[in-house]
Amino acid sequence: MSVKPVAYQPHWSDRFYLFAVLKGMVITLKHFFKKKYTVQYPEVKWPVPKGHRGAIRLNKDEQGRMLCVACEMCSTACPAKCITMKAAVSPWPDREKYPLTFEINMLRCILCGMCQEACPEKAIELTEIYDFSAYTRQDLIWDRERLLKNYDLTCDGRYFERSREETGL
Amino acid sequence: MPTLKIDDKEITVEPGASVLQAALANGIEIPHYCWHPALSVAGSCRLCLVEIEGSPKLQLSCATEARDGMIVRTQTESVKDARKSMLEFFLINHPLDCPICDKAGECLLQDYTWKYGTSHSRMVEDKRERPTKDLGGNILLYRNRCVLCSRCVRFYQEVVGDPYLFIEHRGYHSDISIFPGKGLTHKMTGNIVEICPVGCLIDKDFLFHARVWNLQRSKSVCPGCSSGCTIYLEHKDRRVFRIRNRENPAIGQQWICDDGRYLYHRYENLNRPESPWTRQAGELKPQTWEQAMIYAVEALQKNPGRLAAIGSAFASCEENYLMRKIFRQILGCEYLSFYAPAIEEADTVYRSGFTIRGDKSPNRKGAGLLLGDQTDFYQAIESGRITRLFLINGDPLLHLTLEQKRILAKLQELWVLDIQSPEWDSVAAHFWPIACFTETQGTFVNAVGQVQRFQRALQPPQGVRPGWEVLLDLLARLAPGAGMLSAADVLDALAMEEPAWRSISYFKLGDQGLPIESR
Amino acid sequence: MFGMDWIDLGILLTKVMLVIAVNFLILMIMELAERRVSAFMQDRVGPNRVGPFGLLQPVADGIKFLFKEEITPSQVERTLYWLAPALVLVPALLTFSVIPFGMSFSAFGREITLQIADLQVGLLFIFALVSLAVYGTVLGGWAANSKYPLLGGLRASSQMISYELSIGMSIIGVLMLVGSLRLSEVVAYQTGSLFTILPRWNIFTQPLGFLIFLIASFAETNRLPFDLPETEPELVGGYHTEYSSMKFAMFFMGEYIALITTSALLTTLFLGGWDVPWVDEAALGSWGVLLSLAAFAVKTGFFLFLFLWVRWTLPRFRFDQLMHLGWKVLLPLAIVNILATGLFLYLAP
Repeated sequence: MSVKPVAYQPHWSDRFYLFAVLKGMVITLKHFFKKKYTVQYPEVKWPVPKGHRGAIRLNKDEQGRMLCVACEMCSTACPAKCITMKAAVSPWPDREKYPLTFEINMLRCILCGMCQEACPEKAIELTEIYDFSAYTRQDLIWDRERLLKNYDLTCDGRYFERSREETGL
Repeated sequence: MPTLKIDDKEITVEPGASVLQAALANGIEIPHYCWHPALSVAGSCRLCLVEIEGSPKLQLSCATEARDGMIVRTQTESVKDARKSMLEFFLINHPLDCPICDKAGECLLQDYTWKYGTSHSRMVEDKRERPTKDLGGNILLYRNRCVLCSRCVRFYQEVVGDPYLFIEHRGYHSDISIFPGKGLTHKMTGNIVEICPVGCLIDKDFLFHARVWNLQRSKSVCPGCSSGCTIYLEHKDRRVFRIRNRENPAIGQQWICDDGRYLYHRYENLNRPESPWTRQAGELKPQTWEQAMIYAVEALQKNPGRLAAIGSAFASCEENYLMRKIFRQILGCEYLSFYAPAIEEADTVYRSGFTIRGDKSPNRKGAGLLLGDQTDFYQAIESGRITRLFLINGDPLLHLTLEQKRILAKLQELWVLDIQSPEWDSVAAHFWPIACFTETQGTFVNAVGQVQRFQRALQPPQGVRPGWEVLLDLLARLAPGAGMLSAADVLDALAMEEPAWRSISYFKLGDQGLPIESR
Repeated sequence: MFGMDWIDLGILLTKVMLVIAVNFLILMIMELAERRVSAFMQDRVGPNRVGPFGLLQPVADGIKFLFKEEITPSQVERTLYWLAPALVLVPALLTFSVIPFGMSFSAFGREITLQIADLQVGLLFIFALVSLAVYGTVLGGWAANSKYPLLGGLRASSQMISYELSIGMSIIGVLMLVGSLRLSEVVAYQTGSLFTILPRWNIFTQPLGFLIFLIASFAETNRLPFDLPETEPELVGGYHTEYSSMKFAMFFMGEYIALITTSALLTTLFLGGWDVPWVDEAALGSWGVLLSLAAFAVKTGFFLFLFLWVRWTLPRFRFDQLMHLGWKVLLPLAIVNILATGLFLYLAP
């Protein structure tokens, strides 16, 4: 089957353009009165879909202890080399090793989720928090406590709902 | 000389060598745990099984002597199957706690399972759990991880000659154990951590400090005694994390002692100034290197008094040679000698012949060859033969007695090049901070006359320069046109001048070094 | 002075002040409206943070402009570079002086017209000033001594020449009907009704002329779809590329004031100016004056909205299309319109 190219032959009313222009203006006017999709961001946060790779958190177990055993799988898997930690003998009897310091340089982090993939303890996860900008570089180098705080913010899966409740919008 | 065929490869070996040795020497890998080149054959791991033509069953390659005309196959289905089954057995009670195991990354169980093993386990029963035992010294015994290769047991029997460890019970209950009331407190313990093929024996000194794949290795020489064992400095983030044995067949070295293994701690937290200082009106004033050099060039040449130079058994051959070059050939000093600590203990010889020397300096021989006999320069100062002194040191354990300090205080002017300053604060007129052995490069001559090279692992801190570089700078200012720019150039110049070093260079030294006198 | 007394002068100054103040007020509203209308047409909300409904946004923008760094590039022709923004702003404001924006009334014992100057040659005066405005654009483009502004300036001048003709021609029909260049008379002509139901506005008597004038005025004011002199994607802003801070703001203001003036002119010429249809304003007294003012405002407002509406509906023309439309379509049509009006006037008494 061969295709025969046919030159576009506009109708005379289209050639006149004014009607087409009016049609277009009717469309824009319709939109003028339509519902707006803008989200009033700082007050209302757009709930990202499941599986969004945002800020990193360190998970806790039922007793509130961090799950991490400082195996450095995440920092080994990390393509941006943004995870550093210092391991030590754990104070708890059910494990041997735990991170004394755990630092993620969010300036370097590319939010690829490799750390989450590599973690044998499911201790590190990416969350739905996507707005974590800061005023200084130092504020974006997250230590253990900051990462555990992210867990508290997101562990119940109601991060966006809560932010909405807080602002009352 | 038997000639055999392994995997269709013709191999000729020394009589008495095993099939495993023949294969390994020719680049054919046969997995093994219990066999170790320095230890006797145990044949307990059953992993090195190979197929030998004419033999109905698989044979242990470590325990089978290579014979003429033997035909060995290492890659047949039955061999592979046997390896797979053996590895499955090893993993029955292995806790698979690789994430928190310090051996991970250099573990033979990991490597072999990855290469030859299965990806899953058929074991459904609970794993046997045994508590971790502290063996004393720096050694922890993670009993769950043991594969009962008995390397550590044989090491104590055959190398140390003192059987601390043994295998307790039989069969399923077999367990590495130490005799009651004993602890691993002698000087060879660290080696069993290195020879353990799995993460059963773990060094407390390194416990959880770093993952091994993140460490960088630098080839170095232990400065702990005049044996001059070759070592690896394993470092990361400008810090040494551990020292590992680097075997040197040229001097028959297979082990290192704990003194050397943990010696890097001596070089941590050195109390070192960030720049040279000089004494002005009783106070220590920081100087730039440029200021210090300009003053030294002027003062060394012009100031009156009898100048002497003291090298060090802790300084490299290059540094000692530069001392000689500057002070004898250019400044014409009569008095040259070197510092070396007094020998206070006898050599310790272990059953395998491994020796820990009583001479706790790495380069006494080299310094002696370059600077002449060691003489008591304190006496020379006391008697007024020396009024001005230029001294290099590198001994982190150096301690000056009050008497020595009193004598040194008599000097009109004292330059000291050292890795740390506290000992010299009260006596030196000028102090120049130089890099310690992890931060510089050079060569040492050990007790048997082997010239061995050590390489730089870390960067010296800001303001601290390697000793050879400082001396080379001084030489270039005193006598421009020497044409030496690097440590390699210094060694070349040394080799030109000194017959004992003839034709030695960094390139020719390689990893094993060269003997100094036998040529 | 021209037979004026102090009261006359006072009234005149008041009118001038009022016109300038109102113009700038509308300018500010337009600045916000442009962004809000565009947002609404794109299903967005637009700036709504500064003040209630974002009403103070223009103030914030003004403050921002004031505090921006004033950059004068090293290669510019200084005198003209400084003059150009004023040349855009001043003629645009001056044009408003001849537009009647309300019914005249009596106060202080004299007749007060709501028009600053009722010139006999009002329309010619407007054309003279509109032609002057292009100098600001052209000089701005030339003085910047940079390729994009120069291209912008070139486009502006050729566009102005092309569309000036069509505008002039399209308005001749109106002049033939009214018989005067005086704008107050143009408004007066449009009072009353046509065929009893329609107001006698020129839009009904001169529909073709209105259309040509409307289209051409888009080109005259550099509005989309004819904003070729400043096309952001191809000319990086065109003639004002090298301008910053308040000088840029003056270009900006000049453009919007030209927009307001053009809307007012369209109202005056074609929508009966301040005339309220079917109502005799003169009979209502002072209420009639207010009503006329309101009518003028509503009509002008409609055109202002139209300008925004078209901008956010139509894409930009290509330059050859622009020239094609000006010379081959609008100009012949305008001539046909003149002939048709002449024929009508000849046949109908």
